[in-house]
This record gives sequence, C-alpha cells and structure tokens, in this order.
Amino acid sequence: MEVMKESDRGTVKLIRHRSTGKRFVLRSFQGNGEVYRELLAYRSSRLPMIYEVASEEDRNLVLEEYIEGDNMGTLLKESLFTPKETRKIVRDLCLALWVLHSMGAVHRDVKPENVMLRGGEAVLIDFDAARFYKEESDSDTRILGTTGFAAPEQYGLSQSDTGADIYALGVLINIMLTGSHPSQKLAPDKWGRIVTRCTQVNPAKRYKDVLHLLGEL
Amino acid sequence: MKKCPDCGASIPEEASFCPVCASSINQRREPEPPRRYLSRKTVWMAAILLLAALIGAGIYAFNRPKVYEGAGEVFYSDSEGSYQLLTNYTLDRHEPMELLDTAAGAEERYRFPSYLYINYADSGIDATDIFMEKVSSADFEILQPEDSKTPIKWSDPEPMDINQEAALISLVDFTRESKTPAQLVWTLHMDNGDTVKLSMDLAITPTTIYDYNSENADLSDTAALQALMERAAEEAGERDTINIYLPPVTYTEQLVVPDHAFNLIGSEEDGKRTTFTEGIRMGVPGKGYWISYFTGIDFRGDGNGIGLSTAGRAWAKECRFYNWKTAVLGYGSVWTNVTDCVFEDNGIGFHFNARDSAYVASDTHFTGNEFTGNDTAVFLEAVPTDVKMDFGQCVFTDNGADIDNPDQQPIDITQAIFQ
Repeated sequence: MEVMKESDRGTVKLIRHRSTGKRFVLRSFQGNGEVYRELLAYRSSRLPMIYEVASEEDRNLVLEEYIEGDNMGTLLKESLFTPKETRKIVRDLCLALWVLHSMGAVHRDVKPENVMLRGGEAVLIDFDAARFYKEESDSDTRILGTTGFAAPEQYGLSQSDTGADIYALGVLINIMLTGSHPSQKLAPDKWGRIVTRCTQVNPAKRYKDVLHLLGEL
Repeated sequence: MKKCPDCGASIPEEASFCPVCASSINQRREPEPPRRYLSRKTVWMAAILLLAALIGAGIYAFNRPKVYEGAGEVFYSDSEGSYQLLTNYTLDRHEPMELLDTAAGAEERYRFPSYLYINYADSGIDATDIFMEKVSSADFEILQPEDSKTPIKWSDPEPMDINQEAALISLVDFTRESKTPAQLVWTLHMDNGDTVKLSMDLAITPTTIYDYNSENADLSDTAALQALMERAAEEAGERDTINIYLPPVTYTEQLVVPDHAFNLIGSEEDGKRTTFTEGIRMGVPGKGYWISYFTGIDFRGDGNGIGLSTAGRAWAKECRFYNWKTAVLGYGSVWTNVTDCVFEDNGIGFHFNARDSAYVASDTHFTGNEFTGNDTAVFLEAVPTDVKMDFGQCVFTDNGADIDNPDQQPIDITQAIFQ
C-alpha cells in the first residue's frame, strides 16, 4: 500500500492481505533477525505481534502487526507530554522492554520514533537493532543506536546490555517532558532524578532493571 | 506440509502464519512480569520496619563492630565459621598476593584484574555465597600519589564472567606514567557492623623502550636484521620493549626471533612494502610472557612452508599473507592473535594448534581479517582455552573451507561476512 520508511538498512512497507483486507507491516532489512525470530513465540500488547520471519544470510523479511495509532516522534513535534501521560507511557515501555530483556535481548534503539500510541497504550516497535546480549563479551563496538539516544557503552565502552535501553528510556522521558536532551535541559524535580539515574555513564549505577524503574514510577 | 488450524489450507511445516486466511498459527507465551515493584505505601511500611530493624541492629553493632585488616589475605570469624579473604590477579584462589610488581612498556594502556576470593579458612573451599550474604556493601579503591600524570583507574567491584570463581572483581588500568607505590584496597562492610580491609601493594616500573630503524641500525637484509635482534635480545632486560621499524625491503631468508619479545613494524614506500619471502619463526620462549607484535608486513610464499610460525605469544596486525602452505601457525603452548590481516591463496590461512597454554588467552579478537581463495581459511585444530574467539568483521571469500573447527572452540561469527 505504501512505503512507511526507507533507509540504507532496509524498507518498511504497509501491506494489505488481499482476501481478508487485514493490514500488516512488511519489514525488509539487512542485519541480524534473531530477536524477531524469538518474538514469534511471544504475545504482548506492548509489542507488535511478529507473524513470520524469513532470513537468507543477513537479509531478513519480517511480517508484523500493523499498529494503528500515533507515532510519538510526530506528536512531540506538536507538543510535550504531561507528567501523568509520561508516567503511563513509560510504564508501558518498561513492560515492553521487560519482555525483551527477559528473553535475553536488548532493543538498542529506544526513541520517540519507535513508540506508537494506540488508544491509551504505548507500543514499542522496530527491533532491527535489537540483539541478544552476551555477557562474556568485553566490548561491543558496533554502533547501531540513534545518536543522542544510544548509551555510552554502545560506542564501545562496554558490552551493550539492558542498561543501554534504560539509558535511552531516560533520554526519552526527558524529551517527553522538556523537548530536550537531558544534557541540555533536565526535567524538573522527581523526573530529573529518575532521568539522571537512568543516564549514568556507568551502567552499574543505573536502575538495575526496568522493573526497578517501573517501581520508581 | 501441515494444515492451517483455521482454514485447513496446506502450508509449510515451519510456517508461523497462514498466508491464505492471514491468521497466526503458532503457540505464543504472554509473559507477565513478577510483581517486584512495590506501591508507595508498601515502601513506606517497609521503610518503617527497616528503620526499626536498623535501630535494633545498630544497638547490636554498637557493641560489636571490629575492623579486620590484612595485606594479601585476612581471616574473618563469626559464629558460623572462619573465612579466608584473599586478593591477587591470578586464577589461583589460594594464592594471596601482598605485592604486584609489574612493568609498563610502550603500550597506551595496561589492564589487570584485581580478584577478591573468599574461602573457608579450614578447608580452603569456596565460601563466596554464604559470606557475601553477610556483606552489606563492598568498596574498592586505589591509594596512589596525587601528582601522578595518569592516575591508575579502576572499575566498580562486581562479579564478572571473566572469572566466576572470584567473589568480586575490579579492573585496574594504568600506563607507564602512572605513579607508584600505590595500594589496592578492598573494603567490605559487614551486616553486623564489622569492617574487613584487604590490601595489595602495586609497583609499576616503566621499562626501557629501544627503537631501531634504518638510521641507527643495519636493517638491509635478513642476516643484518637477525644479528641486530640477537644482540638486542641479549642487551635488553626481560621486560624492556624492543621496536624495530623495518624499511620497505624484501627479506629473502627466514628470520628466527630470538628469546625476547620484539615488535616488528613494516613500512611502505613507492608501492613497496616490507616483505618476507621465507617467513618468520618464533620458537618456544624461555623467558617472559610478553607479546611480539608484527604490524604492516607482507609475507609472500611460493606455496610451501609457513609464513609466521610461533610457539610464543604473538599478534599479527595489518599483515598480508600470500601463497603459503600455512600462513600463520600457532603451536606448542601459546596464544596467537591475528587482526586486520589479509590471507590469500594459502593452503591454510590461520592454523591454531596449541594445547595446555601456560598462559591465559591474551585477547579474544580475531577481527577484521580478509580470507580469500585459501583451501582452508581458519583451522582451529587445538585452542588452549575455551574463550569465545571473535571473528567479527572478517570477510571470507571463495575459500575451500571457511572455518574448520574440529576442536569445537566457541567462536563468534555473527558479525562475519561469508560470500
């Protein structure tokens, strides 16, 4: 029906099933599709349902649920979110990330453009940069996250793990409330403290996991 | 083929989705997180209870706290038993170390781990789990001269996969400009108020760096180079660094590396690179465990022999190996790395055949290599440790076999390209 996104890494198309009229997202990208394959066995209202994955060498084709709603990146161009809205959305994102982290995966690209708001619920999309983390590795020098949202360890300081998503979530919270990166303008009061804890350079000083952040919210 | 449970259409056995009726046909889990997060009210109630408990514990602790101090090791006893806490940087959990006397050569940065081991004092058995339950917090710090140009740095203490035997590990980084004497101090604050302090002294000696090049040494042919290396190996201290900057000369005889680590750095001028046509051989090192680096050198063979054979620690970087029976061979008791090298038209590109290494792996990187047109690009016949070898960003093209791994060595090829 339409090309939703096109980049060097691949394309994202909206397609319609001929006989049923159901709409799906068809994602084609180069890279590692193992997280998509694992998600075939999961269902969560905070993640798009992955219907089918086909891979040949490093080329992947993914059929996934079309999330009908508003993209947070687009909404943020118009206005900021209230603390109450932020709290609800970030709680949903924590639960979405919890599913990924409990699988042993890390999203690595949490940002407004990868959050869809469907009714009163937030859905985390786009796992093209997601990986299963390997605790034995001493570094992960690949840079796949989006500049400004990627945690320092994704630039080669240490293995990117669940802490990298918590970092990006901290940046996201700040942008939802202030429109700026925390280094430019920190969210006030309690929110500022949460953002600061999420974005500690040393991953060990961040929230231990998304459930701890959820508890704080 | 199988049938879609919704519409009965025939679909492939491995399908998760029916393209006919557009329904999902695989079983799915719907994970719910554990309710580990607490409401504000619960937190307050818990805090009040905790406060009461702390007051009680405080009264007890006021009467009891003791400080235990030791260098290399310290013994701690309570009503449940006696424990030996010791620190070192080796994999031996029973070897306390009061002093680490190390050297710093020309490398930009050096790192070693500081391990904290906890054993039962009587049996020597690992007591980490039971002891750490009594620990409320653990700190690690390094006391060092304030005027150090590059102060020694350390990571927060935590359990790490690099050594699962150690209760806690901190990674210590230093350079040749880090000033010592310094002291590494582990401090454990026990639940009962006791404090355990465990220290290890650190001395860093900057080694002498010898630089040889065409202007201060005869490097015109293999015989001259061989003579220089033998003289340098005799004159230099075991820990000293010897760098030899080679001119873009073709060395037509085999070079035998004497018993000392050498850094041979090739060069390029007017399209001509430093080249060896009869290869380089490193025997079993008699002293030291320093790594010999070979950088920016071409190895061009005639289809026979070995380009770089080594029974000592070696690392080839940005080298090119053409037309050898075996381009790089690590054998005996050794760890060898190759990174950013080219292996073309060889019988075997990189052959690891070393057992019972006296040393742990130097590094997990085998990244950025190009393997093209070899009969076997990588042959892991025997690798002395089971660390995962990282072949990220390696490109394998038109080889008879890309990776022959009869030893079933753990390897990471997720970021390698096979074409």
